[in-house]
Amino acid sequence: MARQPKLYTRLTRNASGLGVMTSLWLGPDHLMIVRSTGYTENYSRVMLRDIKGHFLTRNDRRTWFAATWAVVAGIAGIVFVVALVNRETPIGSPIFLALGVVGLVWNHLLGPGAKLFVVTGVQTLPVPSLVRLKQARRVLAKLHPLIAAAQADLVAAPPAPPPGPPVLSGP
Amino acid sequence: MTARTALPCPKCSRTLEPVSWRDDAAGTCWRCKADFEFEAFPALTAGRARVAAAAAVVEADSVCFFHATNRAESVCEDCGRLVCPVCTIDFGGKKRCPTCVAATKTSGAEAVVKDRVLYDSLALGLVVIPIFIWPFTLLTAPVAIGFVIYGWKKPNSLVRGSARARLIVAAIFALLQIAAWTVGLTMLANRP
Repeated sequence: MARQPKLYTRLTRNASGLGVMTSLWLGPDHLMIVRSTGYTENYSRVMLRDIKGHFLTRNDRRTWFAATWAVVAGIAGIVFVVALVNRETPIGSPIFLALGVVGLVWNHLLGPGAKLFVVTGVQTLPVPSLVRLKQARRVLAKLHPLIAAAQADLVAAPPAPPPGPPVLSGP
Repeated sequence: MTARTALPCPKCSRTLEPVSWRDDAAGTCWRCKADFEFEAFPALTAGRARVAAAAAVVEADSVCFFHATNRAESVCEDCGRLVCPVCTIDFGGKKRCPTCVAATKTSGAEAVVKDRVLYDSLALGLVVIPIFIWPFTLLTAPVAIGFVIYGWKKPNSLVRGSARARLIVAAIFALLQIAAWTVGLTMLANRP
């Protein structure tokens, strides 16, 4: 049996939320946001030709994640130092310290947090799987030519009519 | 700038006033103070080509299936009805008539699917997760088999591959659990 060609191309990996993972996929003529609980999937589509523009806003995601990793690394570091001072052999704390430091570095390398909103004629739709500025710019660079191609046949709005000729009044 | 000023702020959803825009590509909402970048596409300012149907003027003209007075100019790629430009809908990469578009919406076609249940994940979850609280497998293994049978011909996720392999793995695990229970209960019953 011949395999069906893949209809969708993944644009972003899963980004976790509260019990829901979201990802962004590119279809033949539309974007699709997939929200998955692991057992069900929900699909939202945005046609490329309907996208009027997009907003990109920065947020504090990187700061919050840095703070979380710093707390993990800090507590583990204190426990590690106390164990060394007491001439004990620390086992768990170096693991958590390494985890915290790797998390901090990884979070920094991912770049500032951002949120993308796609504007259509009827809504401003957030794209929850795009959470970092670098990632958002990378995906948008892929999408721009596709959106431009999808909207190539749109007719430019007529410009405002020029003022009419001056009315000449005879004697 | 006019089309941009009618846009809502992405954070507070209130309409962006002209004062919120620094230039065509960035600004700060003067109400919620959210900084934003904006990139516009042709759809922001452009309109669509106006669709106008021509009237059938001579008897030899084919007329639209839905409008007896309009001249037909295309054929629905699903049902073959002749339709006028007003009734021609570009949907899912095909030219279709309104009736076929309506039928597509109820047919479960991939272009309109809103959600899917992942029976493979359900079955796999039911055989793997209860291992840590193994007495539950007496109940969950037969339920997993039920999901495998029920989900075998159901459509799977639009974005993941085939579900069959995961369903087979779930069925094997569930059958092993049922076999283990059968052996265990038989040995218990035959114990002198």
